[in-house]
Amino acid sequence: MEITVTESGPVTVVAIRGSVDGLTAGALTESLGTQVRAGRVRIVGDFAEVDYISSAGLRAVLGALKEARQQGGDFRLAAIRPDVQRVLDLSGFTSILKTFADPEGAVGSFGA
Amino acid sequence: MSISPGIAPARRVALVIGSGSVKCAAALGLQRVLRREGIGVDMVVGCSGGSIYAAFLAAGFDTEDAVRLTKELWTREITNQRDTLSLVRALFPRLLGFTEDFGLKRDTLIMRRLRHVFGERRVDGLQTRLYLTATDFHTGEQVVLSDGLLVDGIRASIAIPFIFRPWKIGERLLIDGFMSDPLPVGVAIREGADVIVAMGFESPYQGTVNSPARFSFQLSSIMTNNLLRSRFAFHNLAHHAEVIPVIPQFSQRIRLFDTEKIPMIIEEGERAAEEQLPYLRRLLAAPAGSIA
Amino acid sequence: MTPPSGAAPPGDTAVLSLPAEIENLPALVGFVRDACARAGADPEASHALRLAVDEACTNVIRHGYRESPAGPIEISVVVSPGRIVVTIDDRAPSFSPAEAPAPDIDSGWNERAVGGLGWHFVKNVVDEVRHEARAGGGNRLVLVKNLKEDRSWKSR
Repeated sequence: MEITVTESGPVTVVAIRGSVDGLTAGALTESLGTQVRAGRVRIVGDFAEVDYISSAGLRAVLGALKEARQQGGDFRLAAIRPDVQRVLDLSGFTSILKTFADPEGAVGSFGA
Repeated sequence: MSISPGIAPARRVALVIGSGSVKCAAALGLQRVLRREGIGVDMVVGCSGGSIYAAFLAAGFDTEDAVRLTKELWTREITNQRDTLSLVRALFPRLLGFTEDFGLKRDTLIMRRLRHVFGERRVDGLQTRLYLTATDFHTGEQVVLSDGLLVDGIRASIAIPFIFRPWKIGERLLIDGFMSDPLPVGVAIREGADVIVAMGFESPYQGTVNSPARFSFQLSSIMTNNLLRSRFAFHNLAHHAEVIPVIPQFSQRIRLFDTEKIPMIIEEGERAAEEQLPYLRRLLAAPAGSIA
Repeated sequence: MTPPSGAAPPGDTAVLSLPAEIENLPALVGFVRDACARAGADPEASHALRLAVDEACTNVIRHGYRESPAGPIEISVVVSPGRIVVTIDDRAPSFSPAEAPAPDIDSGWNERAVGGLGWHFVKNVVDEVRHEARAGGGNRLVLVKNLKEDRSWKSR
């Protein structure tokens, strides 16, 4: 799994490529944690290249979500593939986080 | 986790009022307590019966008006008019063409009353941000209504299956919000609330089951209560901060149209809110990042 | 590791046995993914089995052998027309997927929040799930996924 971080004004875009599972979730948690600790709490997860997520991956997403929100920010997802979307729906995660068709939409949603 | 003093994010407060028909009036008691304490509310979420009170609160109606309007709105008469065509179609589905657009009662009266109470107000045009929830009849998904006419949103949220026909908004056919989540705390979480005050009601269990209708209500209550509990548990664990349950306890049975019990219901809502007040105050005063 | 008892199953059978350690998870999951690819399974079925096997094996690895040294996980995949059957065997103390997972009191809220999620996925992405206690100790988990009959997805 590869993670690429770019900044879009006050918003940080974390683009993930590959599979977010038991073996890679730790790296995602680390990367997102680093952003939050640095005060970058408005984060967009670009999931265009994420082909798979398991419950371990969801654990990492939930952890990042809560940390960002505790600091007044949020973690929003974009460009989710159908297989991954199905997992998010099944787990009930779509009811607690915001998702967008593309990263630009997600970045824009953080508003002024 | 340290944060510079002075830029601690403000605590956003949400009220969530779940399904519970006339018991949802307890929310007026809750609101009395919050007003008295000077606790501002940033958003209100309403489901099913809760959608009506959520609308009252978000629109800034005072308690006396809300009580009077409830009595005008919510009487047995709204389920008096039988939708004969629907009933006949149910009896002869193939012959007359049964469709998903099915409800045993006509909604003309409830719609007229809702329009009388809420007029042309919009969900997104009120004093406080409002979200109403319904359920997509075809997919079972929760649908959040955050704009459009208030009357439409409420009608969709209270589209009780079998009683009122599903309500179409845009491309979606909607039924009662309780079917996807009787207490939609998730909406408040998603919309960025920190402190979430959730007023929910368990569906009553039947005393004597002496008719198919009661048998069916009992099964429905079982499923609704299990759904309520499992969704609430999940939302509690998924939220970054606290969800404060305010759960009124009623010693007597409150039936669907017992509007004369509203004063007692509101008092019980106040009492239940008072119980959680010390904790609520502590949460609102807590510094950022410390209320996980 | 003795093969599963009973009559030889019809169709194509493949078996892999590895110690129940987290390092072996990719190989266990990969084994099933390869079998699905060879069988020409549709993407949805392949993804479903990948997820179900990932979650089921992770549970054996994390909770199955508990304090004891990691015993074996044995996966067998049987492909027949219209369906794939994956069987996961272990020699860990008996448990039932229907019960709540053993409370992990050392884990934080995060672990608890998604504790039962793995089983929730297993039960919901495949068509049948059967659990049996094995003679001589251990568990057998059988996952059945029906394959889409029409191959229209292939032309994409």
